[in-house]
Amino acid sequence: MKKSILTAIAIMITALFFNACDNSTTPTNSQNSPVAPTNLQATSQDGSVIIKWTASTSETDPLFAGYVLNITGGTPMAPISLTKVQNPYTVSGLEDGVVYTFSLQTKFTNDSLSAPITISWSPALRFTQNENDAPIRIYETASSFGSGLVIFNSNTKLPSSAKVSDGASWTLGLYTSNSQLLLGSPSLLNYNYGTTPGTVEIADVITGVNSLDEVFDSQALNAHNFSQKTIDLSQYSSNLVLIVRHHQSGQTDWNYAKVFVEYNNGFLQGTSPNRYVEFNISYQEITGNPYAKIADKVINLNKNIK
Amino acid sequence: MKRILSIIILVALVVVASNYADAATKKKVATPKAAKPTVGKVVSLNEVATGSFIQWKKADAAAEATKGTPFVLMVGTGTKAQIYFVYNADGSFAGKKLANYAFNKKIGVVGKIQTKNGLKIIIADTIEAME
Repeated sequence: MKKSILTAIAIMITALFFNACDNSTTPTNSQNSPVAPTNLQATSQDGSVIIKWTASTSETDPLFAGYVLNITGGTPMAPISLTKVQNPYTVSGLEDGVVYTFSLQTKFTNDSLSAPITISWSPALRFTQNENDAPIRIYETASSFGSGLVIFNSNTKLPSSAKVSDGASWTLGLYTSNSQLLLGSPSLLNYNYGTTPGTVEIADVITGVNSLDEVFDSQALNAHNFSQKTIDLSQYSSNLVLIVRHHQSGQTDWNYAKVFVEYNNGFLQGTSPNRYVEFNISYQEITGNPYAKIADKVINLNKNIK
Repeated sequence: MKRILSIIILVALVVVASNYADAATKKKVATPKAAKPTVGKVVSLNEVATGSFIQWKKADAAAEATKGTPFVLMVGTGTKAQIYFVYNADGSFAGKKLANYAFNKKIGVVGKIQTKNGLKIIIADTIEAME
């Protein structure tokens, strides 16, 4: 009798032990709520915006189910589910000049969502060809062709080149006399213009990129420090992107652009005296739209808003 | 004495000739021939035939070129006007490319100019608007 009681107690203790062990093997190493991604950035294409972000620390969580992207600002769009490999992600079907708000959240399999991280951004015109369907080029000072870049010809709504006689149209100018290789604000270049160039300001010089698609921002372009300046291209040995702003004819507010300057074993291509510098341009046609609004900060990162 | 004088004169002549040749070479290198564009206006061959010229819109000129209308470069105006047929470097006719410049008031073409069977031809290296 005593033996059977002891056996029964042993069985109960064993059962309790296994029960405890069973509980411990469920995936309880998950955090209670998903953590938001960080560092949301954007860049513009024609009719689309590319966003990228720093992955959420919840990506390693067993409950991680991906991200949810909500877009507001234009025609209503359904939320987009993204996997962790869809970073960067291109949002297509957008309208140039409209400021959209992109809101990204981490999602768990139990449908809980992180706090959103947001950025507001606009698609913008993208030019790889000029108004003649040819590469966008301006020529060295000695050439008979134009040394001035018109980044947006309001008549054709495309880029073109311009000669010194039409300085008022110049957005950027190339100056190659006296062994110099300068690109910059036309009013600072040593030309005897036929018409006076307007004010063109340049902010940052970005290096180490292969295309405009690689130039992401997290804040509006007007947050940069702009001034009229010339860039000594001889000091650089890779592609450049210049952040530029100018006034369209009759406008007092700025129009913003990113200008990609191609480097191909040098900036000057072709044969003297018609050597040229080649460009790609991202242009925000809407006056006063610096591509974006300043990104919102993530508040209460671990807030579960399910 | 006469012999020494002859040698000195000979050496002097060699030095002068050498310097002259050197200077000539340098001059040749320092001044490459400028590639000036042939400047004119793009017109259709139909306009040349009828003598009635229009200001093209880009889309209209492109559509006309697609239909097969040849576009050429007209240098000068009136009876002194000269017509150039523009070709690409690969030998193909550049009429369609030229049509993209028909709305420009003035363009320049850099390239090798030839005259064949009385026709003026430019093998274009560069075509650019010049406004």
